[in-house]
Amino acid sequence: MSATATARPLAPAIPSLPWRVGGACALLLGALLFLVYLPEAFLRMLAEHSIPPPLPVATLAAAGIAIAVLLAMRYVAKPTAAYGPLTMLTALVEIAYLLLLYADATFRLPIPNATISIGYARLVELLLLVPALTLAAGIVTTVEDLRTPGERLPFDYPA
Amino acid sequence: MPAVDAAPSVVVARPPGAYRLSRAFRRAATVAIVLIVVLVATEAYSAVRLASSSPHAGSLVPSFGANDTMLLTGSFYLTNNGLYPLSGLSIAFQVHNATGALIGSGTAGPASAAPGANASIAAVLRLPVDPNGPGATLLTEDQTLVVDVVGNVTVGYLFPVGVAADLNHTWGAPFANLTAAPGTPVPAGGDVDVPVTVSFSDDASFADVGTFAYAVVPTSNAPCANGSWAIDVPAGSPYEQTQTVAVPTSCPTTGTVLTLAYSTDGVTVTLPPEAFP
Repeated sequence: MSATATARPLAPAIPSLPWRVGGACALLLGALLFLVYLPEAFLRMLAEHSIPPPLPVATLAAAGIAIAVLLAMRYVAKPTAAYGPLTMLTALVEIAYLLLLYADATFRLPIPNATISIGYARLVELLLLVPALTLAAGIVTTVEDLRTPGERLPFDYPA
Repeated sequence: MPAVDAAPSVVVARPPGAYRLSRAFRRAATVAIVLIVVLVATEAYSAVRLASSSPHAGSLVPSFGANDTMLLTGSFYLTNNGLYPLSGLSIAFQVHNATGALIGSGTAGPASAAPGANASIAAVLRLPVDPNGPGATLLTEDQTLVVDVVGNVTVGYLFPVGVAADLNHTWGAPFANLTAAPGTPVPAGGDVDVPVTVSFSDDASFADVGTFAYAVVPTSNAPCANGSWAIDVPAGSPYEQTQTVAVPTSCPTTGTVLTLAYSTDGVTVTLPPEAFP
């Protein structure tokens, strides 16, 4: 007797809201660490060496907190139609943040009788690729959710 | 061997196209961020290795380069022991005197260095020393020059690095404190013999080996007399010699100057004129 193969969509195993909120809190903490705490520590280290920061610490913190909160909200909203728009919004904020960095993408290190400058505009250009791809993913997901709501859930949350 | 019945398997339905496209974008973003992190880490490592290899510059060496032009030549050396090539290695110089006047400039490069290769770029700074320019004092006055240096290099692909520095360069003049002091004129036939004592110190790092040419020039610019003599002054040595200049009595007595020019290896530099009685 031969094996029988059947093709059927899986039922989504969507975590409950409390579980998603818990996961979002963990994500928020990690994002705050990488987007706020570590960059601030880096800028403080630069200031200790008399290197002017490329951005005010407050701007960097505000942008980092905004992106972290959006990432957490997106995580909670993943089973809903808000996921796509939130993904797009997160990507747009990231792009705005990177463009802010791009405006003066140079570190200037004063040393006795000399100044060393290190440009990182090309790095920012490369990094822009990441939110651009995320934005594209958000657009596609938004369209997909509008046309066939719930279609992606069995694949986002396989049983 | 008897056949074993296999349990019915479940084939998961293929995700819809939009989902697969969205997933592809997300995965591409993840791959991009991983590659960028790796690139940044390896380029930072290469930059640290490069800095630890002690890039250095040789001292600037003065010489006569062309008519009324002196040269400062030097080289910059580095060893690229990083993982990525160095590109766009270039240096630009500007030389100012103590009053801040620009007296010369030069560029070096661009050059590149593959991983593991040594790179050296030669720099030539041209310093005009014509009597009417700000560089004329380089011939006769020891001084401290300020050399503005701007260097650029790109390590790998991401990080262009620039260095701007002000360096002091101690300049020793090849004819420091040059004087041409006329003595008491002595009538000699239809001319007047004027003993002229020329003295200076060769404070440059090279010997003055060549010819001194002189001319007695009135305001009409038509020389009344001229001549030349050979000199051989080792670096760091004083020089003093009295030459007899035969001047026709027809030569005007007011407004006349004694001009001196030094020639060596096909190069002539004009020295500042001295009043001639």
